[in-house]
Amino acid sequence: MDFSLSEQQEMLRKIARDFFSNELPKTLVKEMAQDARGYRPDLWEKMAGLGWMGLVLPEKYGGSEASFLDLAILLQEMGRACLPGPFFSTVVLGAFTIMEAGSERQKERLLPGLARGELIITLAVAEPNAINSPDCFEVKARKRGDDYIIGGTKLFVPDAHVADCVICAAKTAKGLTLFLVDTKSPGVTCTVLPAMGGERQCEVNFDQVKVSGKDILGEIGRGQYYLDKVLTRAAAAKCAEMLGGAEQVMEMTVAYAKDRVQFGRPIGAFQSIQHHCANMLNDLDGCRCMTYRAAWMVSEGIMCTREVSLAKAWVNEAYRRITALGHEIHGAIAFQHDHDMHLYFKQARVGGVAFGDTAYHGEIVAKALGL
Amino acid sequence: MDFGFTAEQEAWREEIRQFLKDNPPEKFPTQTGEDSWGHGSFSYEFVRLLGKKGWIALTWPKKYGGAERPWMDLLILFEELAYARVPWAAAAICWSMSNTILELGSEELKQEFLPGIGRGETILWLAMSEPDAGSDLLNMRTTAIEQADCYLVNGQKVWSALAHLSDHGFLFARTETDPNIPKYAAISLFLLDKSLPGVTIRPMTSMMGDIFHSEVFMDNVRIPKRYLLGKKNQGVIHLAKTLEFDRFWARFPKSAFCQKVLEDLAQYARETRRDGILLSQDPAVRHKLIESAIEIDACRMVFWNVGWKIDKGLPLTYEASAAKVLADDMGLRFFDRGLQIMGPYAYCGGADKWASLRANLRRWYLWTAGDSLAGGTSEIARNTMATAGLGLPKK
Amino acid sequence: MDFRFTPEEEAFRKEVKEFFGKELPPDWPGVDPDQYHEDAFDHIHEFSKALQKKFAAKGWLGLTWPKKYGGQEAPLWKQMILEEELTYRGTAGYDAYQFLGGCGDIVLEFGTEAQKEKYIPPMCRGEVKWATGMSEPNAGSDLASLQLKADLQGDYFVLNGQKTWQSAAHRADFAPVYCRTDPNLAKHRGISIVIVDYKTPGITMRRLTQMSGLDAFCEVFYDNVKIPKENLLGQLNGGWAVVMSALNHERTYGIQLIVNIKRDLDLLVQYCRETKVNGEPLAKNALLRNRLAEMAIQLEVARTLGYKVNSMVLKGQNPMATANQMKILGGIMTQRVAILGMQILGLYGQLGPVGGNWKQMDEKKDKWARLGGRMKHLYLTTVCNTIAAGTTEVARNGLATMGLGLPREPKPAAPAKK
Repeated sequence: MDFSLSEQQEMLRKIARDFFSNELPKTLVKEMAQDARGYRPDLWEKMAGLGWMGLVLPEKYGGSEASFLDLAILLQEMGRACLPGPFFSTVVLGAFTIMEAGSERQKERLLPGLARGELIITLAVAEPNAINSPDCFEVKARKRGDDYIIGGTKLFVPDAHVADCVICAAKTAKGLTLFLVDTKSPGVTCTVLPAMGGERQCEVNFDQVKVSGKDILGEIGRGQYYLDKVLTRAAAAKCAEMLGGAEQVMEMTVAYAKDRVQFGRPIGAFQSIQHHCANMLNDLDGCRCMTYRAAWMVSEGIMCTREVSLAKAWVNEAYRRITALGHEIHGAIAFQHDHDMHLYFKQARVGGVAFGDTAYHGEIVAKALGL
Repeated sequence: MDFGFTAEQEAWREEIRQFLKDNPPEKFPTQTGEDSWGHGSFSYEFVRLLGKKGWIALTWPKKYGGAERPWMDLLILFEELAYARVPWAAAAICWSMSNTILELGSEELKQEFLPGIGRGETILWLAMSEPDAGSDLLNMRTTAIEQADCYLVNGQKVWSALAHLSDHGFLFARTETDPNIPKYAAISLFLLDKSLPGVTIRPMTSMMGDIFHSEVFMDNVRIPKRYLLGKKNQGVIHLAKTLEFDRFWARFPKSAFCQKVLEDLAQYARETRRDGILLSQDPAVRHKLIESAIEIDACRMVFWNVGWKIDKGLPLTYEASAAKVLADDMGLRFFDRGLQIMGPYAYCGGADKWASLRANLRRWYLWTAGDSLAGGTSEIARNTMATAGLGLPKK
Repeated sequence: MDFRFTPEEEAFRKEVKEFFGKELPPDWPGVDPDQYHEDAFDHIHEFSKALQKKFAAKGWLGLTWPKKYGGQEAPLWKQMILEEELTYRGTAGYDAYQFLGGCGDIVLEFGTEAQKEKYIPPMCRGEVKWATGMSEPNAGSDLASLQLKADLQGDYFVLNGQKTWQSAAHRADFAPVYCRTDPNLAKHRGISIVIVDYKTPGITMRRLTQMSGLDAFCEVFYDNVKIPKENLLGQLNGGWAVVMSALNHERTYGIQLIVNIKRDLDLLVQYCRETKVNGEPLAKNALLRNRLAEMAIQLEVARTLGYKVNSMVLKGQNPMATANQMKILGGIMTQRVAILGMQILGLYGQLGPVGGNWKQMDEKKDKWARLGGRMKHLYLTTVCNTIAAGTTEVARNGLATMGLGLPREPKPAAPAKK
């Protein structure tokens, strides 16, 4: 058992934290929430220059072959910084799916550009009437010669409005299949949904979109299998992001409790405030342990559906509680838009329903318990 | 980072499991009625068997009969024993006190006590709390006034767990009565021989109807000077350390214990129908089991984190208090849910397969109510987390 | 003990319901008692002003106030029924706070005859709006620490300083402003209340945007603002008595929150009946049923407690402790409903326009929002319900000391440096 990070991991953490301190003030985060694109391309390029897009990709595609745990540490800092933009979509959703399902040729075609920050990719799974049940999915892909025609609507697709490609899970006659769709294809329309914070989730309409059979990722009909693996990783990765945010909330809140004076003393001297902080701390420590364990297991290639679900179910609720208490302790000042706390409050909510809410992951835990 | 165990550690775990298969815990006669985890039921025979295996002294220097095994091995042992619900109460308590003896005791004391503790023959109890010194321990009034040849002890302790079965007490008493001396510089630590004249033990009946704690009255008890542990008037540091340790040790096994109960409940749910529905398919029941599974697992991970920090000698500020709060909150919710799952049937007697689960749930539900008070209330523990852990101002 | 309403009370309730049936559009989604929609959206504010005049025509503004000043001298129970009904419907145009405790009542209690004659009749006629000027950056929970100065110079108080988190200030005509008139006295003792006409030169307001996206608050800056000394309300340096009175009248905030929740709970139940997820109707999800039932139970408990508060007031008893309970419950329960709503809506909970279901829905972008984005709005606004008008922590302390007689926390040993 070892809960420590390696020297390299500590260094990655520090580099990332310093980078975001310098490059991503909260004013910029809030500005990006109103921006059409939602992120700054110059920042994106700098991140690519640091090798972050290719962090876990094999060297032959221009990556650094770091571990999932390393990526988790990076994502933690990104969560702490409230990084807007398509990093998660491209690196966690796009790249993993290609690595998992793609042919060598597809990997060679797509991954080097992705590693250089030149390709933005996302994944389209959820639909208006179904989130997790493939039986209820309605987006279809009909075979026509060597091509497929995709029709239907996907929802909550992150960053589709800036993506070059979207990996679309569509039902063929043989079952759910993953299609790599160029977003410039005729028939593809993206509408950004007014969601909660600075993240961009889109409605993507596929109106008779023609996709070559060569752009199928993996085997026809095996889409659910690949998705299960990618979504497990995505859930673990999302925990890491949420953990970073939770740590920042903890720090901000304790600092405020020490600083804010009312009734002649810092409010942190009051027992009710101290107890709130103590409860936040326990929730946070739980998040740390559960997230790192899940990330480590993913890194080691150990079967961990149960542990990822345990982590996500815990983090979903714990982070929500942490942000609620963070607000409570700050009082009115954090209710204002120009404070930073609500960025995390919203991040907690959005993260809490991404890649499985608590009920969903709870069911996976139940199955592991033999129920 | 590594969340796995080494091959040696896995082998050790197997060895313990085999031992438990060969020596089923339920076959051992118990001397108390408590049948809960950790500070639970107690069996002289079982504890002596642990002693014979060398497992009580697992991490001690060989000089005192120990095996000098790594600390992590002790944690693994705890986890496995708790999961198997062994009647080991005193042994569990002894572990933390024997560490203090190792650290502070004179060579003479070490030789006098450690072998017996290691064999499972000497049982210690922790004599800290008093009627006027609960959360405010420094308010203790028991005095131990230095005489020519002894310390003269007068006073009363309460909530002394297993005092009625133990031989020696870990006694905290005031050795300095000058009111100008701050309380934290007025307390010392002694090993009290229960058989000394003037010591009276009065067992207390718990709300479960069993005996676990006692009041201890000391009336002009003469403790020979050699039984002072550490330095005079410097007992508070050890008090604090004992508490920290107590919070960690006493709660470390809780998640393993609860995990086993959870598995039993899941099995119960899989086999029981109510109103035509299998309980395991009842969403309300599933939800309770799921919530419990998540909390128990999170608790376990946090405890291993703290255990690892102790193993690495990393400085702890709030961690033991935090872990205690986590475990106690978890326990309160878990046993409440467990009883709810059983519904009114929890109160049925009978001798069927689930009779002992029912009886135990009832008992543990009551027991766990006391946990959030023992070893320092959760309120105090949260204060410690805030001040020592987060640097928030003290009053 | 009697939990029924009299025929007279039922008749009045019917009259109120019929009025709303007529005056509110059939699909009126309801505004919240916090007034944020009215403060933020001009079109709602305009509707509110028009409706306020109609309330005035019915004599429902200042219902219990002396006829001499335009009131009806109606019994308090009528006021309570009116409050309950209009809160449940989420009616605009009746800012309960200005009519209960915060403004009108303190003028009636502490004002001179001239002040009563000047200020109360226009309130009863629905011609004006009042805000209130209490909080400052360093005087939140610790209101007595307020610093806005009011120097008596000849015939005027000259005001300098700043108020913040002022709801509705930008919509209001008048406000009782809590000032420091003597810095040499102990904190509580040097406070006075001055009635401020917001058109007075030297007052600037800066709209603050909340985390929900609504800009419903203001900072109000006072720069040498000259307020006639006749506008002093009550005694010079006797303002703390007014504060206590205003707080005493504040029994309604918690009750309003509770009544308001019923609308949202009903909305959620309806949603669960009508919605399928992964092929299964939500209303059949046993876990959700349980949670909704749990909320309904808590709501009933809170409502009953609300009736208790009202009944204590009607009997002339001091309801402060119970009113504190309501404040606590109201805040927490609104948050629970919001969390439950978000759980029920899942991914859809994230969608919706700022302010929720107020017909500013964009056909394309808001197409997928459920319940008009109501739950998201609720989720982002209810954060302040355990903070505004007294934090839950302070309210619990009040409940413990005033209600249960527990001793107060000791004062700090030495003053904190700042």
